Amino acid sequence: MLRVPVTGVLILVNYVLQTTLWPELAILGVTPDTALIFIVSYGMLRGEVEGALFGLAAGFLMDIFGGEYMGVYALMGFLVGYVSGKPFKDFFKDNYFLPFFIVLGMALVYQFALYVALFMFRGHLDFWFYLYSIIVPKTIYTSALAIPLYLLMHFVNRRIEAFEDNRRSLFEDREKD
Amino acid sequence: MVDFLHKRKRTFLLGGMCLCVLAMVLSVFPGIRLSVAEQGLAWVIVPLQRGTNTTIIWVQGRFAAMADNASLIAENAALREENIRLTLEVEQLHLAGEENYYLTGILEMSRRFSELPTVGARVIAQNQSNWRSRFSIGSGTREGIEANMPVLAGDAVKGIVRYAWSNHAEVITIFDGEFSVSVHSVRTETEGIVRGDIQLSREGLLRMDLIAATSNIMPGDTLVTSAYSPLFPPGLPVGTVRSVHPNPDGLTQYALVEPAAGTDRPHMVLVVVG
Repeated sequence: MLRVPVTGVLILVNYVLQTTLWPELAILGVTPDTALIFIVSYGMLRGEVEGALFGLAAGFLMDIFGGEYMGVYALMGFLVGYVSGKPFKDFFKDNYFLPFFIVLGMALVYQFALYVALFMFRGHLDFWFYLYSIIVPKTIYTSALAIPLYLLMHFVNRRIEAFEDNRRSLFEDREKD
Repeated sequence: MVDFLHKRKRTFLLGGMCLCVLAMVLSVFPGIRLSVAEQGLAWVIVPLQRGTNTTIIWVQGRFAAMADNASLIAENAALREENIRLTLEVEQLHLAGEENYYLTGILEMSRRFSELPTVGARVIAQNQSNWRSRFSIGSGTREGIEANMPVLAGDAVKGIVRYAWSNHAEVITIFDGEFSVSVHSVRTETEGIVRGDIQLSREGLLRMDLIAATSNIMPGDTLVTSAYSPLFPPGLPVGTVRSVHPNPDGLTQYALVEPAAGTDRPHMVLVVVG
């Protein structure tokens, strides 16, 4: 039960920091996409279903408060969470380099999908400009933060799992008594 | 619940995607918004954004106060030079009778702005994406702010309100690809449309389109909002023409424009509520 409120708070805090703190720390005019890192990390740590639900919630929040159309960020968050969790849920969780490479790949695909959804279909065909000025810098900045934020997510996940295990054993002991 | 979804992964995947697509389809229709969810989340998020923003400004202020004396002395010298240059410019302006005529017009406009009913609002958050140029302000419908109201920074057009909730509003800035405003040149009275463009925004510029090929608009011309604009009151400064270029069709020209409101992210803005 603790997982739902903690995850909710994490999504909210990340959104607040993404709209207030990160613009102040922009490099070459781009800010990191920390929501993407959390979605990928959550998917890798908890599997595709929970990763997709996390991505859906984080995406809907972005859609509600600044999205172009309701559902664009939610759909992409949902798919990123699902894809991140599908093949990697059984990997060694203390391997910090795999999340880095997954975030790198996902950030590239995610930004490219945003370009296609929001710009290419509206006639902005200067792909190289968008690639060099937004997609690549944002991917690099996001990937640079992937390992520390994955560690944070891993820590939070471990604490919640420990809490849930204690609670479960407590109830099992009571049932035995 | 999660175990149930694990057993029906294909249905879950399809269901989630359908939900998102349905939301996209519904959001195409104006007026259909998740008002309750938006408002409920806004009550939690806006105070958090306001608090975080205040903390950031406080920290920035502390760092600025710790700046060394050498930089302050250098800044003082630069300001003195700037002051001398500005004094010379003012004298030249007094001598130029023709320019005086236009300045009088601009002064009349600025008197009109002071009569515009405005509401001051603090910028509390930026858009999370780098694909758009938008920000949130900490005032909303409670203060009389509604969608499509002009937003000013430093007496010049900075953007327009996209959505307004009770305690905050989202503003599209002049650099956003969705922004456009009808303008005319004070000197030549040439009409045109100034648009935001993500590529030009990197250089701090805007684009003015639909300028007649016969117009003699030139660099340095001041652009203000046109009387044809349905959303902006006429006479609000928009920018200054930097360069003019012919379009391949030969019928029209386009111009690159420096925005009068500058390129910096403002901390405070004025919303024209009348």
